[in-house]
Amino acid sequence: MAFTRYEEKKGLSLPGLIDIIFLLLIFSLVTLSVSEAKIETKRRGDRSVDFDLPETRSKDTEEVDRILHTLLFEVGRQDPDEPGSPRMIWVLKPGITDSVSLQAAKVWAIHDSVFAAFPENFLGLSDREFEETKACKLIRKSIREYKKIHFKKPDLSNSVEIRAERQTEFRIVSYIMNQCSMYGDTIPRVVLRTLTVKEDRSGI
Amino acid sequence: MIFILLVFFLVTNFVIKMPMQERSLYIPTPKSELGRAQIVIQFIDSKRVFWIDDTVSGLVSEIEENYGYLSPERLRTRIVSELIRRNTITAAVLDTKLDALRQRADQDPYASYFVLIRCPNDLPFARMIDVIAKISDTSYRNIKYGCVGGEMEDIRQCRRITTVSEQDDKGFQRQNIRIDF
Amino acid sequence: MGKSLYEKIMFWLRILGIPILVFLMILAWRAYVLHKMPFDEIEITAYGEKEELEIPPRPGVQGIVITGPRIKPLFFSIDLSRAGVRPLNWDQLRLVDPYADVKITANIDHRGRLLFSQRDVFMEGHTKAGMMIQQAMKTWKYTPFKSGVIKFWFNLPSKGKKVIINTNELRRKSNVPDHIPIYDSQIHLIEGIRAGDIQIGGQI
Repeated sequence: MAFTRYEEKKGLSLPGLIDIIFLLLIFSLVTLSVSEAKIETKRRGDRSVDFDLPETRSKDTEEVDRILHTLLFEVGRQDPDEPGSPRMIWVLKPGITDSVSLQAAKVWAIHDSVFAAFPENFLGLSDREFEETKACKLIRKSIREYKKIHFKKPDLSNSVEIRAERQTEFRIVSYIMNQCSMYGDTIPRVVLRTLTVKEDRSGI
Repeated sequence: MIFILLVFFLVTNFVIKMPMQERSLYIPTPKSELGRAQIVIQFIDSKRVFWIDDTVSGLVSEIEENYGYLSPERLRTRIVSELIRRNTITAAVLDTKLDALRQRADQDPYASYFVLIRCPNDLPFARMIDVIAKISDTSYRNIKYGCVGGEMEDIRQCRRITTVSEQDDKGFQRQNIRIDF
Repeated sequence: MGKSLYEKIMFWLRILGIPILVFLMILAWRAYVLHKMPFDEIEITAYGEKEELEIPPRPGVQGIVITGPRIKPLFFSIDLSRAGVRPLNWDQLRLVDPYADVKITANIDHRGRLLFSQRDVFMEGHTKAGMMIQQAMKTWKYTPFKSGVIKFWFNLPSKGKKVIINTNELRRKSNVPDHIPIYDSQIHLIEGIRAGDIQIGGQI
C-alpha cells in the first residue's frame, strides 16, 4: 500500500497574526488612551484639568464626588486665561438635599453675588488691612453663618473645603484656616482639593 | 505570546492609572497655643527652606555655654544667625531630608513625628502640598503635619530662643528648643 | 381516645415552634442591621460607652517648642573600668582592728582621682587599720563628673553607722552642662559591709 503524503495547504500563520494584532492593540491603547483621558475629563465637565489644581501623589487623599457636601471656597482668577487678573473667591454652599453639584453651586454663587475679588496688592497689605478687604469679610461671614447652622458642636467631620489653583498664594489659604480655627475644635480641619492619579480599582 | 500578553496587561494597567482625579487632602486648622513639633520647616521662598529638628538643640546649648557672657539680646541674635547659617537648605536637600524622615518613620511603628510647616504669604500653596505628599505616605501613618502662615522674619526677630528641659509624655527628660515670637 | 405520642409532640411543637421561629427571625434581622451599621456605632468598650472626640493634632501658633534629644543622666561613682581599683575588705579590717576609728579628708580632682596625704588622715591609735584603709582608697578613681572635698569616717565600734561618707562639698565640674542631671551612685568600694552600716551625706 502506498502511503501518500498529504500536504496541507499553507495558509496564514495564526500565531503570527495574533502577535501582530496584539502589537497593534498595544500601540493603539498607548497612543489613544493617554489623550482620551484628558478629553474624557473635559467632556464630562469635570474641569479638573481646566482648573489647574495642585497635583499630589499623596495616598493620604480621599476621593470626592461631584456633589458638594460642605462649604467650599473656590479661588481662581477673574480671567482664567490672564495670569495677571485679580484673584477671585467664590463661596459655594451645598443644597438642603445634598445633591448640588460643584458647577450648579458655582452658578448660584455668581447669581447670588457671593464672590469677591482680592485687591491686586493684597500680598503687601498689613494683616489688619487684609482683613478689611471685601474678600476676607466674605470669608468671615460665610464661615460664621455656615458654622451657626451646620457645625453645632466639635466634630471631625466638620470641615471647610478650599478649591484653589496651584499658584494661589498661601495667604488666602492661611486666612481661611485661621478663620476656621477661631471656633476652636468645632472646625478642626480644612480640606484642600488636589489632583491625584486616579486609584486603580481594576484589580489587576 | 505569553510575553505579549504580559506586556499588554502591564501597559493596560499603567494606562488605567494615568487619568487624574480630583481628591481631597485634610489639613488641621491652627490652634492658638504653644506649638510643639519634632521638625519645623520654614519656607524662606520657593527654593530655600529653614529646617529645624532635634539636632539643633545641641548647637543652641553650645552657643549658650560659650557665649553666656553676652547680653540676652546679643545672645539671641548670635543663636539665630548661627542656626540660619547652618540650617538653611535648598529644595533638593529638603527632598532628601523628607525621604530620610519617611524612612525613619517606616522603620519604627512606635515613633511619632509632628512636622510643622510654616509658609510665607506669597508662597504658592501647592509647594506646601508637595511637602505633605512626601511625608504623608508612611507605613504606620506616624507622621502628622500641620501648616501655619509664618515668615522667616518672625524667626529672625523672635523674642527669645533658648533650650528648655522638659519631660515628654513617656517620662523622659528632653532638651527642647523654645522659640517665642 | 387520648392523643397518641406523636400527636402530643406535634401539638407542643406547634405551640413552641412559632415563638421560636419568630425569635430566630428577629435574631436574623438584628444580625442584618448590625452588619450594615458602621463598626464605631456598635463597638462597646470594656469601660462602657464613652463619647470621645479624637481630633488630630493641630499646629500651635503661639511660639514653637521643638522636641530635642533625650537627656541621659550621668552617674557619679567609682569607675570600675579604670585599672588598679581595689576594694577595701571589711571583714579583714574588722579582724585587724575591730575598734578602728579613722577619718580621711580627701580631694577628688578633675580626673576623678581620690587624692589625700598623711596629714589628711586621722588614725591615732589605729595605725594598722588606717594604713589598710589608705592602701585601698588610694586606688579608688571616680567618674569625672564631680570634684571637690570628700570625707570618710570609719567608725567600727559605733552602734549606728560604721562608715559615714560626706559628699556635701562635691560640686559638678564646669564642663558638664547644667541641664544634665548627675546622680550619685557607688561612692565607696567596701566589700562585705552591710548597706545599713553606711551613711552617705552625713556630717563628719
